[in-house]
Amino acid sequence: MSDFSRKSAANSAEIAASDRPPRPVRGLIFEVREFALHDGPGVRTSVFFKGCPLRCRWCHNPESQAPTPELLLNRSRCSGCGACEKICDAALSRSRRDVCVACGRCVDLCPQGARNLCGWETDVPTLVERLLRQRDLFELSGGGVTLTGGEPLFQPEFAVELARSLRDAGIHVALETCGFASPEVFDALTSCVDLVYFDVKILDPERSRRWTGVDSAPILANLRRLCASGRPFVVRTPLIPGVNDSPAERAAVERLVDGVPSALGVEFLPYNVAAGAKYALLDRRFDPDLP
Amino acid sequence: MTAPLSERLTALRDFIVAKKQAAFRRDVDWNAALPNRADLTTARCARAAEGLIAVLDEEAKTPVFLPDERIALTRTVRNLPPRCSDAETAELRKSAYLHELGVVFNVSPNYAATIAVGLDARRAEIVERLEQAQTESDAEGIDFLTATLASVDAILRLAESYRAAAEQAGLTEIAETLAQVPRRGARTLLEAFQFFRILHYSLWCEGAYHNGVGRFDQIFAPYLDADLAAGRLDRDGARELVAEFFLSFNRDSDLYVGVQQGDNGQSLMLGGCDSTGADASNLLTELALEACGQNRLIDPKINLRVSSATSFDLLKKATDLTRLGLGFPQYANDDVVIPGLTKLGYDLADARDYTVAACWEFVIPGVGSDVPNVAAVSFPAAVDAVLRSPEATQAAENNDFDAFLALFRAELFRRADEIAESLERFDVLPCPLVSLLCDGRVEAARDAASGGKYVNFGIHGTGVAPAVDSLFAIKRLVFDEKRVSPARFVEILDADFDAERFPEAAELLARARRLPKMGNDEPEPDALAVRLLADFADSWEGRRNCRGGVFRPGTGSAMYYLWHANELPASPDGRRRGEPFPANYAPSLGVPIRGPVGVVASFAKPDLTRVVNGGPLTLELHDSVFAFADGVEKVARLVQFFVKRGGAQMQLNAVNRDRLLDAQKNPEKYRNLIVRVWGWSGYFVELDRPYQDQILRRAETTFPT
Repeated sequence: MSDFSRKSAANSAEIAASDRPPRPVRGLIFEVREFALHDGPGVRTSVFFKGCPLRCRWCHNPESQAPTPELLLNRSRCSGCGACEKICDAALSRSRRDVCVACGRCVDLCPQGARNLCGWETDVPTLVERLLRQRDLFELSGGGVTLTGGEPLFQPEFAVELARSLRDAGIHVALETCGFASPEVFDALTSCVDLVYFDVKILDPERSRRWTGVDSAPILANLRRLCASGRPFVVRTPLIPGVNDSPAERAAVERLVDGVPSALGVEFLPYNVAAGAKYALLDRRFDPDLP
Repeated sequence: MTAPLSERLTALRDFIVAKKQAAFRRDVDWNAALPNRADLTTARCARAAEGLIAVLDEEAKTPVFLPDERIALTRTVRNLPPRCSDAETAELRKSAYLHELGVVFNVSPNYAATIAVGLDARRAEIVERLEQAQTESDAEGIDFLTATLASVDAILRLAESYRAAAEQAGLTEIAETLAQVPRRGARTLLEAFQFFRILHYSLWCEGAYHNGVGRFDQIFAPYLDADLAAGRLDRDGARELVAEFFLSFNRDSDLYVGVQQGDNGQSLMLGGCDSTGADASNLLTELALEACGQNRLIDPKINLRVSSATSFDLLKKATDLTRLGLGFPQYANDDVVIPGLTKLGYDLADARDYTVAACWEFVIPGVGSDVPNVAAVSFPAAVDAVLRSPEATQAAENNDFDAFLALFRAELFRRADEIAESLERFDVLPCPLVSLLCDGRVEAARDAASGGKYVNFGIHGTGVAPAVDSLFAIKRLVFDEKRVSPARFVEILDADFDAERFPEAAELLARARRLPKMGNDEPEPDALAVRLLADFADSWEGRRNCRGGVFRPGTGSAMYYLWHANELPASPDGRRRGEPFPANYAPSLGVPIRGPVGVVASFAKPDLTRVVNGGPLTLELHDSVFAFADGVEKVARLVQFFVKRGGAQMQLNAVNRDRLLDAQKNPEKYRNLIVRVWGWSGYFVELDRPYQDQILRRAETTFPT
């Protein structure tokens, strides 16, 4: 866990320190989802950034965590035809994550469609062109684009550039974030979006480390910055049974934004303990180890 | 959210759903009852009328009233007399093409005109015209008018027997209603509904089938207005009456003919514009949407005309109905359909009055004698044929994909030639009662079978998306990447991508499946779709049919999505042998589709005004969409987007695959589970397995994922 934090911190420091000339920024995303219904007002398209500094034990989207492309293998669709093994010894290995470089060759060989590459690199103009194809729908519905993930703040240059380009084109941009980033990165991105969905998971620093892999202090500091900025935002908390769903914990989350005029609300989201199907695609075990 | 049905209607609905009315049914031995049939060569109309009259006279013997109903008339005779003997049918088919059952069908009768004036007035009109025909010794006219007159008299006898029975049973309201209609014109909404019921019921007894209801809210608005003005009804009372009227479509529907149970053509249209183009939606539009949601039954099938002028409020109400998963409403976009119909030669005022016939074929009430489903072209079969041709090999050798596309275009023209030729001798048996309800037929003294204002032929187009995906796969795999020659590809397709016999088959299949597909707003496949439908339109443009009409190509598949798929081996898009096509105008089954927005964008790109026979873009939404607070609003925005982008017709379904799978395993638990099939809604557990399976395949790609 710690090396992801370090990685993130290094990344942030680099961003903050540099005064870069404009150049094509590339980012890693794993899904562009149309008609995303719970990611903000109107009809929206959500861009999922790959890579996340947190490791929430209950995470339902394990494929969003690593900041590199990954191979997803749906073993229930595999017919054992062997087409993939002809070109890669590790194609069916259960520990392939150690050797697989996600080159994708096996994906194009699998007649069952059991293999997918999760994550592709793209640049901002390409992505914006695609997103703008549906601008008339955004306009008539009061919708727009939501940056989510994974964690957009984990790829700050790309996220900022994307958000700016979209807003320059008149598109409403929302950001869904875990809030874990340096203050500079956080300000840089939140200052160029229209609406922020800010996830608050666990307030206590120690328990936050235990359940999400990171300290809550920088997250809460960023939340305070957001409160002070006057930018509209919504707090979202997934209610994890036995972890953060006590009335006291919920009240504490609500108190964080009590009296903040730009806080549009606090949403507590129900959590389905049974869902963890995507871990199998990565040959990982879903083990939230909830109390 | 609409209030539930009243206690009275809940009981009536339960009665009908339990099919308790079936207890009143009996079979009639028609061979014994009709020993001497009218001569088919000299008295075709008499032949039609004698069957109708025999059924109605049988029915007049046994009036039936369901508990607490206000709109009467229930079938008790299960079987109808056949129009022709098998030998006669065979003889007819020798000399001409007889379509389907060979009678007039798939039209939208003008019920409104007769409901307004009553059968006495229509009868007088027939009598007067008959005298003229007799003076002129017009044998055909005499046959038609005599038959029509006798049919009207049989309806009047049936209505009178119901009236007398109602009176005797103390059913005062029904007796009073039947004292007015059908003899005289309706004055109230209840009378108008009862009148419609009598006419519609009689059409089925004539052997006519798949005749639409027409523009419900336009037909009945004057009666509702009169009732509201006189204080006889308020909004709730009117909705209850509409709900009861809708229930009446479900009492006998299991006796109606169709490819599958539910395929009965009882479709109605709501909304749209008047003859000047102004928005004509009214209170009945809303009440119909609400009443349908209260009933939650498969009939009548609800269609809604929309345009850029449609209020967002109405779209939200319609989406609220979509939420219930009945497959209603199906949308038609006036902004595309009306210009499309005028291009085909329909007068503007007629085009503005369009409705659907049975499923989604656009027809004009009263004046359309079109045969909107006369034949179908299979686009994937055309791609397959071209790939097999020596010219395709030549094109591949020259690396000239445009030449391949030119071959495809020529193949569509060749298929159009073939179909047009097969329809040069076309025959249809008359339906005098349908004709009575078609404008100008009495005046012309001719049955609708012999013509009408519009006598066009509709041509379905099956498998647009699989054909486009196949063309694109050929472009990439054969031309751009040169992975496979046309001849080798054909061998691999015939072997269903068998990797044992063809070492490259597995990779070819994997590659084919992963190529961009129509439905993701991708420029390359979508450009092929634009071209394919333009070629299809061109292939029919300028042809005249044997009745003097034109051909109307469209994007519908009807049931051909299974039939045509079964005629083909595997296809270049990666579809394996035995896998069905999508129904109507929709992405190929099982292909990666990002969402409904891209689907609408892709499928709206072709010029749909030129392929306006009908055939909806079909989208499957996961029913969890509506679990979100603003799910209805967002789906309604999608409908606006469809209108804005120039879609012609759209079917939005709310489905839940897990529930469908469970229903296949435990049908007894899901007797009332309703699904959309190809242009109608039916009970899932009553469908044959291949239709169920295709719906399950469709449900694999629902939005949001």
